[in-house]
Amino acid sequence: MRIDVNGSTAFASTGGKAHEDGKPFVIFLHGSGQSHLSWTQQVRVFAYDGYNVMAPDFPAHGHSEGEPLNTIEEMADWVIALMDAAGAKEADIVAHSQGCLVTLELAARYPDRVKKTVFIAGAAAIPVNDALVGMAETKEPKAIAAMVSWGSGALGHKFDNTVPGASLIGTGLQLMHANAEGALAADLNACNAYTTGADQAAKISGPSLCIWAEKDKMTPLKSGFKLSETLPGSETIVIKNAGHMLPPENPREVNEALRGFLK
Amino acid sequence: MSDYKFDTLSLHAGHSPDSEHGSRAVPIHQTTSYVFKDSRHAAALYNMEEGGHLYSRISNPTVAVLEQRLAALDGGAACTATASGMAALHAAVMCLVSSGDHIVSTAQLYGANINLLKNTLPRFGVETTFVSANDMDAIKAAIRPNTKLIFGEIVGNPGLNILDLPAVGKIAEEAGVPVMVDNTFTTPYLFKPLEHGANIVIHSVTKWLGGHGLAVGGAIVDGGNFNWGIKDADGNAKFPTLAESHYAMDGINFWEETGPLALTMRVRMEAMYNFGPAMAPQTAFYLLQGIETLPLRMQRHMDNTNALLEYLTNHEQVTWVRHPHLEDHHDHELAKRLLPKGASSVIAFGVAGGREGGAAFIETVELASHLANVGDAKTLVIHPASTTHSHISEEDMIAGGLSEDMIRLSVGLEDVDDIMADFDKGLRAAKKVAANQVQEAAE
Repeated sequence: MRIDVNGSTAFASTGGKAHEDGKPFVIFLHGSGQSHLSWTQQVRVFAYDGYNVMAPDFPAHGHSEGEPLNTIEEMADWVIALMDAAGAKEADIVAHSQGCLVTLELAARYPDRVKKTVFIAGAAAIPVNDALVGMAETKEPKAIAAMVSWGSGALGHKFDNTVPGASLIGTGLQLMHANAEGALAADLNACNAYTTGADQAAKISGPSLCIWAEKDKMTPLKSGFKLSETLPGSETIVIKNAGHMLPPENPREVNEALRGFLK
Repeated sequence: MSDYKFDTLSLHAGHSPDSEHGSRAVPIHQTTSYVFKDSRHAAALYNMEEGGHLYSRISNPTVAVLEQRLAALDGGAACTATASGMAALHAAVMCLVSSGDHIVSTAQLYGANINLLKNTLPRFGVETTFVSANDMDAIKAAIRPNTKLIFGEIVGNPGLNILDLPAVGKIAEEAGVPVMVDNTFTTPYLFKPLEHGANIVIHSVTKWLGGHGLAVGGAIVDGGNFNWGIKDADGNAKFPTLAESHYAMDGINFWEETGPLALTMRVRMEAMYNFGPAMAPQTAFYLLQGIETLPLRMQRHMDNTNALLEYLTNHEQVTWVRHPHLEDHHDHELAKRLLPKGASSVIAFGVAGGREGGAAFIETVELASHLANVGDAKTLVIHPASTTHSHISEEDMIAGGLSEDMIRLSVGLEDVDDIMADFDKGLRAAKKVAANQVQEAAE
């Protein structure tokens, strides 16, 4: 779907099904330099399970127009504007990586709009090293290559996949290159600048599920456990031998966990 | 985990050892179908909600290993394996074009490629303009608003011209047209087209990739690097087969929902479903065994090629030799720039005695096999004018760089001294024919 959000055209995958009145909303939030395409193995499943699905591209990502948003707080406000535009009074939020920071902000500041939250391969803070930020600002293709390599787990690096014939690394590179120039650097700077995640996590009262990857190089498992401890009453699942890009690389485990938690 | 290099990927890409039995070799999943967990799972597979296998005409676990390995080696977003290289070309083209569309192709192509574009597709309303491979002005001039594809072979078969892919890619990018190339002769070991301006690569996997003359197969490697969402001058989708609602799966828009995989998904969901050019799992297994040693074989192919080039160019019974490694080849400088590891192990040459001399050579050699293939581990020879290219017109033969006396040699992996000894016998036979011709002319 294409929809006007704050005066700019935003794109959100609905998983191939138009929204219907009365169905619950579930919103999938992508990570740094990613797009709705990091959720291809989830959106159709949940759309056909009976949800109104939205996997938006943040501005300057994927098919969404506009300038990149510069702070996690702005991204949370933008999601609320998207929900308003789409007629979603409330929604479950499923987030990956940077999307987890947005969700902490969203759920803490808009508790009446957020029901359940799912944090996938995330943390309460995602500091990004200066070298990567510098690369993203001046040599974006190198930064993308590094992130795709670090983000991929054992299956990705062996070019194994649940989607026959597809390369997780190949698609990961192309979907990141398809974003507008500057989108990745803005995302990484926004992650770096966001330091209030743990405080916001403590305010979240709704049910939460954490899905962490055992061999996550981008948001290490120990930082995930730290967030799990901060989120009141959260459940935690660790997917063994998996890397950071859980949604496309380990969709069966992720979807099983999501289905169990969201139903 | 570090990124694996080419030689490692040739052995491992696409396959994790079987978690249930621990099989180290790629298992042959000799099955037509796959048991669904429940009705929701079945519906999800049919509706492309999640990855998996539902019927072996669409995908198969053994074939998927081959596909994933080729995607890794070529640096693509995905790959679809097909029953042959020609099936790959047909499937890719049919998923991109519709009646009223137009293709620009280089003229220096394999005979069946020419026939598909020149004689078959026009019956379905798709016209192709053929241009000389490296005439960039002609390529540019041939592009029309309805042009949906530029096609060429990296190393033309059998003319051995080299496509200046970076130059073609630049023209295509400016025109908003994807470039598809046939990389059969070079394989990703010698050349990776997706790094030089191509968007789609097709292979006859039968040849050097499989490398042993065991099984026929093809592949479409999707670069995932083309914006299929661009609009035409009227504001409509320029590539409606990918960027508008599909006729099945609840009207899925492949470009919006799968991005870099859009073409692959259309191929999977239309070509494999409706045309049925599936590769058999046993075939995929054979071809995978070949790919495991691709780097070793390709290096030996090139070493033997260089040795034979020296032998042939210095042999008095050889009237001419064509290969991009030779300084007198019109694409020699281009080959040095684009293909520093080698410009294929196919050599074209003429022998004393013309067509009859060539026939004598082919019938005399014993180690080299006379057959219709290239890229085997064994040395192969053929006379294209009377075989592989016999179904195309004289005009197309000339445009493709063929001549009546031409012998196409596919250099194998034998000890090169043995190949030379075999050729000595063949060339002596050609010499006799030439001598007889001289005598007859004198009489």
